[in-house]
Amino acid sequence: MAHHSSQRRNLAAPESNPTTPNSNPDLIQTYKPSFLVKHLTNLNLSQTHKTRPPHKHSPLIDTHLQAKAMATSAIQEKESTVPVKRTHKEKPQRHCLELERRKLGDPNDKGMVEDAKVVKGKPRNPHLEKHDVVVAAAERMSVSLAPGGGGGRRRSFCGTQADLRDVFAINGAKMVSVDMPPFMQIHAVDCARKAIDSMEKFTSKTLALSLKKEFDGVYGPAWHCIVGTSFGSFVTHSVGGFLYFSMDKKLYILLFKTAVHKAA
Amino acid sequence: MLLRRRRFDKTTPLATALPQKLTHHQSSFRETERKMSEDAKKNIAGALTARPNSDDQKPSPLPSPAPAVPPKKVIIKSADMIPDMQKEAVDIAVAAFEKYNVEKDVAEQIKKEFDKRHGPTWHCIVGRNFGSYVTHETNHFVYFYLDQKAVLLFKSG
Repeated sequence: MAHHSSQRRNLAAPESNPTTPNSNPDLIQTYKPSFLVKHLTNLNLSQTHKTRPPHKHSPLIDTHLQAKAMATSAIQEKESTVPVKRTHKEKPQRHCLELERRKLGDPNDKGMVEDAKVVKGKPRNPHLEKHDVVVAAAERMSVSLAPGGGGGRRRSFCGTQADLRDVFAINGAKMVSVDMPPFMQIHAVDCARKAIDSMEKFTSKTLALSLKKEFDGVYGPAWHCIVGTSFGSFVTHSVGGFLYFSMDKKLYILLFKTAVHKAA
Repeated sequence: MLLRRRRFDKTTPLATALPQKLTHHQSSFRETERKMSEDAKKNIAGALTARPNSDDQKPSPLPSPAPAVPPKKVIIKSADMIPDMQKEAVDIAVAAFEKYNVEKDVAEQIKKEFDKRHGPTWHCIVGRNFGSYVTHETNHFVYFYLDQKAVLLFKSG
């Protein structure tokens, strides 16, 4: 817990400085409660999954309701701060064999390539230079999730990662790239599984619509969803609002959030 | 390994063949009257080499307001964008496909070029099989086919 909270604070500092330096203390104060709320949500989720078998419907429903209620308050606090965007790209999906090969090599290649390209792209635009700092910080956070999920190195992540692994295994989901709190990941996977099971005939568009509307409704606009077996993408998303995962080994789902500016 | 021109067999047909015209696009911004002439579409399509395209992918979140242009290398499936910008998107995509073979690199090239020319924040998806549902700013959305690949480009945020 201590390690995780320290990293979160490091993330929060760059966000508040360039945008609203005067209200730094207020932002920091409001940010901590939402962070605690997240952990409470995680604890509740882990307890629920441990004590009760996941196949029962009523416990899952309770879990979802709790997650949604808490998430709503968390998001409200989030929206008070200006979200910082981060550039992220996804690998192309052609053949299963190619997928297996590239998955093994991607973690290292992706990190290096992203670092190089981000640095190259940013300096030209002074507005984007502010995001550069946050991009580096955010990438560090996302990288730390990978070893946690694989080997469980970090103690503070053990409970969360175990919980995530259970949900993913049940739904046949596998995380490819994540920048999202665990409870939202669980929400996305459960929502996707329900949508797929409820369709008489599967269409990527319907699943994308279902996921986007669910997340727009619970976590606020604007979310975007891409579903398919063969696509590449390059998007800019809000911090903490990006998820790219696979289901049933061949279907890939990209879900990300952008900031909404009202048209003047 | 040049794979751009080759056709891949899909393991499982996930997308239905018939387009659903009832698909509704959601926009959280003010809706302004769209201005997209069919002549502009023909000009864009006619500017490039003609080639039949029998691909039945239909991930467009918007129903096409005008009847589809006869099958050619470039097909504007759906657009909420001024004609000049559409033309620009197609040209950039053509150049990107010539330069890169990986879909994510093509998407990266297109997005960065539009971020540079028309200001942030743009998003780009390139692929042979995908469905999508997005929210975009008014007059900043285009979805078109380029040979066998579909390109979705929109602005949001």
